[in-house]
Formats: sequence, structure tokens, C-alpha cells
Amino acid sequence: MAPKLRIISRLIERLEKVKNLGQIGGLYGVQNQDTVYLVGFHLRPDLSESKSEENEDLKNVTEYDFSDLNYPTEIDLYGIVWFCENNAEPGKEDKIKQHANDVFVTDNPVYIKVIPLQPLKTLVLLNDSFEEIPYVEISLDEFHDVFTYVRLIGSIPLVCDADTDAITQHFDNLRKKVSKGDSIIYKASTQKSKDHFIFAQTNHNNKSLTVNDLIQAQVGRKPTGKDHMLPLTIQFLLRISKDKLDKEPMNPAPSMTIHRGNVRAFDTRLNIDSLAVIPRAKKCSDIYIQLAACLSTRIKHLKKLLVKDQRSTLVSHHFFPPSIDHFITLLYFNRTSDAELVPYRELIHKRLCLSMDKPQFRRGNAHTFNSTLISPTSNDTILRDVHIGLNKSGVNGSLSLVRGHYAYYHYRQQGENDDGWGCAYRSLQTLYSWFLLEGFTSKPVPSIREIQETLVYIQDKPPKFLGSKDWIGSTEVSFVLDTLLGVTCRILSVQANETLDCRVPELCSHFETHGTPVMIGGGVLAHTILGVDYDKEQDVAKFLVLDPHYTGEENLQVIQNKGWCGWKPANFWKKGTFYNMCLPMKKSCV
Amino acid sequence: MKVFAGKNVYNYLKDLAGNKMTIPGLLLGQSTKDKSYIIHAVRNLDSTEALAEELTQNIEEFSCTLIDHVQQVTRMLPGGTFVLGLFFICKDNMLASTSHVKSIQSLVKKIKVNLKEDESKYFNTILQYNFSNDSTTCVLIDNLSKDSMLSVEFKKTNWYHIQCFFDFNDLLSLYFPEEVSLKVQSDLVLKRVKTILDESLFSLNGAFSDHSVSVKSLAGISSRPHCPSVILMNIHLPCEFQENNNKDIYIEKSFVTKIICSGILGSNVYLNEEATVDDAILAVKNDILRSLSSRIEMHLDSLLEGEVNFQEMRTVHEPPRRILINLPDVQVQLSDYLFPGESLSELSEALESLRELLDIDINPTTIEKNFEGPSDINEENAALPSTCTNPSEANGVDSNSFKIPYKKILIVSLLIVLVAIVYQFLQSGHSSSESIPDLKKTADINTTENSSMHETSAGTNTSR
Repeated sequence: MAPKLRIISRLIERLEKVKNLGQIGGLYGVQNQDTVYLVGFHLRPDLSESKSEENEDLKNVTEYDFSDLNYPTEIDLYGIVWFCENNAEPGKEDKIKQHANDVFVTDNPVYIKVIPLQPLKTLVLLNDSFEEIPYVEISLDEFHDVFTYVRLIGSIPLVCDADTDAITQHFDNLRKKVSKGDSIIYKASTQKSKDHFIFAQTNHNNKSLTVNDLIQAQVGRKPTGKDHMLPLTIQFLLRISKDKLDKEPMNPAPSMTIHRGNVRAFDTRLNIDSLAVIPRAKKCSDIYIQLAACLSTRIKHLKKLLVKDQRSTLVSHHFFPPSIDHFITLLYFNRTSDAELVPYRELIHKRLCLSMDKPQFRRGNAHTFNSTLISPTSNDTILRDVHIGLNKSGVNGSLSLVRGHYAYYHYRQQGENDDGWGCAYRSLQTLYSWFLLEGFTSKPVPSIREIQETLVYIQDKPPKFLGSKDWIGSTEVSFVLDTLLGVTCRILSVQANETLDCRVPELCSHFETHGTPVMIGGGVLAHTILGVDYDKEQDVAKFLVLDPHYTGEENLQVIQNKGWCGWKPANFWKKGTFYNMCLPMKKSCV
Repeated sequence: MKVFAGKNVYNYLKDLAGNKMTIPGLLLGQSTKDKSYIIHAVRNLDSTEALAEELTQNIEEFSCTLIDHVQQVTRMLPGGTFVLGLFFICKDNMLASTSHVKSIQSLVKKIKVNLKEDESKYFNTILQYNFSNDSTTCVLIDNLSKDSMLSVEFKKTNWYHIQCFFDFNDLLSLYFPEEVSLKVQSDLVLKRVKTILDESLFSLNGAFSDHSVSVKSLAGISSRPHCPSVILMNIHLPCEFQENNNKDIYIEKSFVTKIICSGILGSNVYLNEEATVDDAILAVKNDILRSLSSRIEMHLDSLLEGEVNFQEMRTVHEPPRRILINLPDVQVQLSDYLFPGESLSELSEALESLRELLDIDINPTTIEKNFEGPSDINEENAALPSTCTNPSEANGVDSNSFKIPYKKILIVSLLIVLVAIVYQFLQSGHSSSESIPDLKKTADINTTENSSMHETSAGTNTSR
């Protein structure tokens, strides 16, 4: 029977944008009952016949680097996509059929034909021939209504002789354990007194409990649409006793072998942080296999990488680029810098047909699961993206907003006593945080002291400026961004006889092309502008303002309700004063 | 506090009372917050009647005898079971005499200081069986007076049987940056096991139960249909994620010694009717640690001084393994330990010592001797390429394996001599073997000095 087909909108959008015709790609998705959900694709130059330079480039990287590792467990190859110039190309169908042999998870691989300016053609292999079937386009939210993410985290100690054989053996033993029933069991912590354990064999626990119920127990409330990205966190336990059921005729008693002689040994921990996609309605007693696969795959990849270099810790980074709407997990060695990874990232961008003008897979781009309260820079918790959830401006025009994440810096943070003089520094920190959170840099947001040091260092200010309470303006903000990040800023002025309204087109275009927050200073005040809502016909605009003069605690409700982040008209800024705006321009890089 | 004891205990005390003389002994059992269950009573055979009667004069000597007995018996008890105190078969109410009370107090104090912390905590009962009027009374050590007597209820108690098999193969290798003694090494193994047990979670019959649930309620559900009364416990070590995004946690160092542990430690405990899952966990933890430290102690004691040759590249230590002894009339098994190479038929000596320690007659056929198997290190050694296969290499320098000999060193040495002789006999037609005199010499040394033995194909793979 032909499967039902659902495709998430973002994937359709991405497929239609692909320019390099003749290419073949793999379609990735997940199945629930008789429905296949396609979520992603990447180009497979190893399958394409066209010999463009780019193809050769891509072929240098083995498929391993782009294997399923990058997708969450359970998102598997479900079919083939062909970007073709026109409908007819004799013999192609047979070739596609051959490629479809790589699809292991279903007997009915999907085949999508993308022809420019035509609707997608979706086919499925039935009785050895491709038959056209309809598909339903679904939103990400609709996908998340059916599936949830499971995040498997844990740490396994690895202590052994520092040679490849010993490490390989250690890993092999570990994988054996994972595949052997109940040698590893999984645990979901809950808000209740009792955690939930998942065994290979269904035990006497609540058998009707679903994954969604477990998420509810974990977050302590019924998950809503807002919680879609909230994964079910699962830990694991290693059994260190023998189940008598699997014992040999006689268990040998404990003994101890002492080896003398110099040996180099290493002592590390394998950190596991792996994702899977699982239907929310699935019974918890039925997800053991998926969890084991999730763990086993990760151990396999850690082994492969660690055998190459044992001396650096591997860290998993989960990316959820807004332009692809699914997770990609990459393992980076701790000591390999973002700069060293440029060629690797370029390849990933090419494979995923992503634009080359914005980093998507730098460490700073990684998705943070816990909450909006995680600061990338210090132990302080600093709120991110505080405008999300605000009421509409009331203008009902076209919205031009900051694109990406930023952190809300304001008075009195980090133990500073900067009321009355630190607002421009704070606005600068917010601008800087965008570059950090968007992956352009991995250097932490500078403190007020560090900002002053930078200005003294470039001789913009005399040494006595250090430790002072002197104000800075938009030009200083641009100097600091240039010095620390190499970011060029555009300075826009609003004359004393003008209002901010006259700069609306420039601001809109800035948010469209660069998407960075803007600092505005004039008189005694500095603010951050996060967006513009502009009704061209009526010629009305409102500005989304983030106010650094806030001195309260990190409480989103207060910040939004009291207007510390909110929509303001142009007369929010006093007339008769000269204003300068600093608009940071993002660099094209990956 | 209520004190319960089985009919077997009553019969035993009554029999002893037939002697019409003062007899001291130990009470073995389990106690909860408000109940004590006496499993077994055993007289102290080493204390003479005179010693016991003139308690007041000879406390020092008397306590030493008892301490020794307590320590040896404790080693045999399953985890969670302790020496609960002393009993006296006596003519009159001993507690009526202030001088006797004082003597008992100081005796108990002396014993307690010699016990480990938990052992001392449970050593809290004095029972007396008055043979003049066949009455049994009990008193708690903390409240030692004739006015706080408790009665003892003799009735059958159900014991719930739990087994657990701790896997040493899962223990990570231990590395030492400098030369340390075997004692230090073994202590570290013990410490490591303790840490692991403290961090772990325990499942019973394949599920995690609330710690307050009674063991009794779990006994019905068993994962082992062929043996429904045994509850299987498993140990699960959490693998907690450790955030380390900003630093490498890799450590590479040079070490001089590495210890690899292997094998399975079988744990076999019994819980009283009131016991909870929490008690069961404590009992198994206690059992594993008690058994491991007993084995290590016995192993270290068995090594003759100067015998451990630290120059060897590879030394295999096989501590004795656990065997289970059925107590007559109670469904509880105690443990004893069997050294490698020791067979049950040679156990008569051991059975004699059991008889002395527990005052029971043991039928050797009822001993569960396969609860743990002999270590399989021997086969592993045979497979090792480094093990010498040619007798001409066997005289030492190249051999990098070495085994600790135990009691049967003489037999082994003789075996080597025999092999050497056979070898020499076989080789007599060939002129090539200059190594034979050397080999002979090695064997001679072994025989005379009782020293360590090099692992060669000739002798060590199969016997010692």
C-alpha cells in the first residue's frame, strides 16, 4: 500500500530554491504508522552525474561526514530528489530506482522531481515502478504536534591504555552493552517523586503511558504549542551486575590481575548528547529500541572520531537553522576553532543548499534547549529575545525585525552600578550579543571595563577614561564593534529639526538585509531599536525599542508589561535633539 | 523492642542447658527498628566454663576469645545479618547481680570497640537461658538491668531471599603512578566498589520499587519462574552528564601499575518479614563489601611473607571464592570461602572449623559449591602469547607472568620436578637442551624456599 505523504513547508520552499539542475539529493524523514513525514534533504553529489567544479569539491568529503549522524535518530533516508530541467529524460527513472536501493527503512521509497516553475512531482515506488501520489504540505507546528524531540544525555567514563586498540575495544564493549537487552536502561526524570525507567522488556510499570504524558510529567504541566521545541530529556544507567538469566553455567569468582611496567593511560568521559524524533503518542514502553539506536549511533561516531584524535574532547552541537527547520547535530573537537572549521562548514552549507552569507553551524549558533534564560557569556542569566510574545504595534504595516537572537543587557547587570551613565555600553552589549548568538564570534560579550579598555587601546580615549563613568555615543559603539569583531557600522543621523520617521526606509532596509539590532543615541539617552512596523500607505511607523535603563530583575513579564521592551512612536525621542544611529552590518561568511 | 527466634534456636539453647553449666555464645540475626530476629545461636567453644563463670576475673581474656569468634562468624554472615549479641546459659538470673551486670557491660564494651561501625551498632542484645527454671529472657545492652527484661518469642520467621551478581568486568582498570603494596591496591579496589555502590540505583525483579515497599510484596513477582522464591537484584550505575563545553577533560599520564578486575561476585542475602526495599539494598551493599573485604583479607593472609614478587610483569591474584552453607532448620545460607585449587573433598579441615565456629554438623553434599565458579584466568593465561611454551625459556628471565601460590605449593613444585624429569627423560636422546639443569634448579628453589612460581606451560596453567 502506498504510504501517505506529508512534507513540511520549509522543505518545499528549499527544494524549489535549488538552482543547480541535474543534481540528486537524499530526502530525509520519519514515519508514523502509514504516514511518511519528509523534513529535510541534502545534495548527494556522489549520486549525481554532472561534473561541475562544485560537485568535485563536494565529492572530496566522504558520505560518512554527512551520514545520518547529522539528523536526529529516526530521521532516515526515505527517498531521492532529482532537480531536473524538464520532465523527460529517458533512462533516468531506472537510475533513480537504483539510488532508491539505498533506502533501507521502507519498501516504498519516495521520489520527488523538481522542475523549475512547476509544482513538485511526488512519486513512490510501488511494485517496482514509480507511481505519482499526492502529498500534504504541513507546517512545522503541525509536525511538532505529532512528533517530539528526545534528547539523550549522559556521560560514560573511559579509562584505558592510551592506544588505539584499547580504545577500540572499549568502544566495542560499550556498543555490545547497548545492544544487549537491559544492560542499559533509560530514565526520564519527572517533577514527581518517582522517575520513569524504560527497560528493554516491558516491566510492570504503567503500560499505557505515552511519550507526551512523560513530557508532561517532566515539565510539570500539559505541553502546549509553545513547548514544541522542549525535548524529552532522557538519561541512562549502566547495569554493573549480571542478570542471572543471561549467566553462563558458572560465574567465575572475582580475581585481579596486576600488570607492572610503564603504561600510558587516559582518563576521560564520553559525553553523550544525542537527539531522536519520536511520535508523541508512542507508548513509553515501546521506545527502548529508538533510545538504544540513538545511543549506539552516537557511540559509533564518537569512536570513529576519537580513534583519530584522543586528546581533545568532542562536544555535540545541535543546530536548528531557521532556514531548514530541522535539527542537524555536529560533533566538534573542543580544540578545533570555528575558523579551522570553515571548509567543513562551507561543505555543509553547500550540501544543504544554504546561503553562504551567514554562519549557521558555528558553536554560537547551537540551539539551547533549556530556556531563554541561558547566558552564553557568564554565569549570570540574561534574557534573550525579549520582544517575542509582545502585543502588536497597532500599526498593521509591514514588519521589519531583528533577524536572529540577541540578549537583553541593561543597567545593574554583572554587579555594575552603572545607573545614569551605562546605557550606551548596555546597548553596545546587546548589539555585540547578536554577533555572538548568531555565531559570528565565539568571544564573549565584553564587560563595561573591557569596552573602555578597547577605546583606550585604539587611542580614541585617554587612559584616564578607564574606570570612569564617562558616556559613550554611537561612534564609540561602532569603533568597539569594528575593533573587537571587525564589523563595519553605518552611522545614520537624525537632525534636530527632523523626527525618526524620516529614517524609516533606511531602518527597514537595514533589518531586511542585515537584521542586526540598532543603537540610537542622542541627548542623554541611548536605546536599542529591534524593528520597525511601517504602514506605507498611511505613512505611519512604530519602532520596537529595547530600553537599557531598566534596573529590575530578569523578569520577562515586567519587562514586557512595563514597556521596557515595546513599540514606541517616533515622538518617543524628543524633538529638537540631534540623534545618531549605529547600524552594524553583518559580514558574509559561514 | 520485640525479640523473635526460631524453634531451632530454642532447641539449641535447651540442649546446651542440659549440660547444667554456664555457657556463653553468640546470637546471629537481623534487627529492625523495633524487632530482632535471631536466626542462629552458637556457643563459644573456646571459653572454658571456669572463664565464663568467673566472668569478673578474666574479662580481658574472655573478650579476646569472643571478639575473635564474632569476627570470624561475621565474615560468614550474609549482608544485613549481624552478630546481635551474646547469650548465656546460666544457673540464675545473671542480671540480678550488680557485679555481673558491670562485667557484662565492660565485656560488651571491649567487644564493640573491636567491631566495625555497623557491626557494633547491631551488637545490642543479651539473652540468658536460665537452666534452673528453663526460662529465656532478653535485655538490651543499652539498658542492662533486671527490670528491663524482654521476653523472647519462639516462632517461625519467613526469610526472603535476594541474590545479586556484581560484575567486576565492568569495573574500570585502576592505574597507579607509583609502586604501592598489594594491600593498598586491594583497598583501592574496595573503595572503588563502595563508591560505585553508593552512586548506583537498584532494581528488584526488573523494576524500581519505592524504597518503602516491603520485600514481602515483591517476593510473589519473580523473573525467575524456576526459582520463584529468589528475588533478583540488579545494580545500575547512573551516567550523569557533565557539562564541560569549555574545557578538555582528557588526562593522559604515565603509570607503573595497572589493575584489571574480572569475575562476578555473587551476593546472597536474606531479609526478614518486615524488611523494605531500602533494607534489601542496604543488605546487598553490605554483603558485597563484606564479602569482598573478607576475600581480600583471606587472600592477603594466605600469601606467605616475601612471597609477592613485585618484579613480575603480570601477577594474577585469585582470592578465595564464595560457597554457601545451609543452616539446619532455617532457610538461610551462610558463606564460606574456598581457595583456588582447594576441592570440597579436601574440605574436612574447613568443615571442622565450621563446626567449631557455628556448632553445627554440615553434610558436605548440602554445600552449594558452585555459587561462584573458579576464576577463568587460567585459560586466559594459556592463550596469552607471552606465556612460555618452551621449557628452555622457562627459567625465568623472559617469563612475565606470575601466580601467587597457596597451600599446595609443595604438590605443585613436585609436579614441576616431575615434568622436568619427564622432559629430561624425553630429551635424553637429544643433546640440545642445556636448559634442563636450570629448570631443575628453579623447581628446587620452589620446593625449598616456598617461593613464587613462574608461570610456565609445565605447571601453572592447570594447577598450583
